[in-house]
Amino acid sequence: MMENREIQSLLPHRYPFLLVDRITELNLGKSIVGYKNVSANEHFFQGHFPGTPIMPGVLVVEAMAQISGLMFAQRLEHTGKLAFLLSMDGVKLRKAVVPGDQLVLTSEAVKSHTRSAHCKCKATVGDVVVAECELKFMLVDNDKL
Amino acid sequence: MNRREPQITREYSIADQRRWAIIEDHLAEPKKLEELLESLSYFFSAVMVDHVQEVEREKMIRTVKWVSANEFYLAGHFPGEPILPGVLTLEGIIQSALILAAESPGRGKRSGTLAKVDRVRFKRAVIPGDRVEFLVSLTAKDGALWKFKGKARVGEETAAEADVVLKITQKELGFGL
Repeated sequence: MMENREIQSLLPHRYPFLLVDRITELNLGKSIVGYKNVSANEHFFQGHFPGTPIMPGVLVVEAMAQISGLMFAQRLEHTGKLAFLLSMDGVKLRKAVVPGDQLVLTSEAVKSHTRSAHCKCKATVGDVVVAECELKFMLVDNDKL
Repeated sequence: MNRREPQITREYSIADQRRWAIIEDHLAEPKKLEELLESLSYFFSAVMVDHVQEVEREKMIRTVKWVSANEFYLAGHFPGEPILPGVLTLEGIIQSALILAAESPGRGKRSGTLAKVDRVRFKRAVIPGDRVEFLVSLTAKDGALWKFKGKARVGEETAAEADVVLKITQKELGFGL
């Protein structure tokens, strides 16, 4: 539904910190589904860990944060704003993510105001839930920093 | 030489250590895919195979590469317009052929070096989020030169095709092995 080119025009993130590849479903300001392909070429596998590549759990959470940022950035009153993380709750990392996995990221908005937002996120590989968390964002104007 | 029925080895991934023991032949000890690629003088920065789906000795191999926007070559090729470089799609076909050669041990370990590439055709751009499947089959043997036909697919569409020739070297093992 949304290719990486469009994602890059909406998200400020770039290599080596762009952790969303494609959006498959988008319900403006309500829910979003997308995915990240985890490939052996990614830079963090060089050191985490040599010989036993595992995707760092914090980067799985970051991927969920980026996709949530996309969901809020799409709303009209939020255009041109950056989503800053305020809090993370109930972070669960249930299973290791390894090269060759497709990380499906789902995010659902719980509350969304003009200056802040709250959402619930989930990451799955196949049928297995690998991570869950609740995130709160502050939406800040890009030029007021 | 080795005239037994081709065996289908199990599916394994680059990451799963338990499934790394892949070759059930008494002539070759089990090895990690990482070691496999290293022995073929391939280094981390150019691994174009994430997963080996199926191997049939001296016949065919099916491998998978997941393309992600977070790979170093997509940062510059091209900024804001990521497309997998065609040479890296070709590289995936070549690496799959090299793995197939290493997975087909004869009287010793086999490894290959690239001798020739022919009839390379690119039919579709590969972009982040795609799952590329490499299908490589051995078509002919001419002494040490093994000829392969390779194809890269995204879903049902063909992304690239190439004919690859590898020069195979065999490392003979000692007596009693």
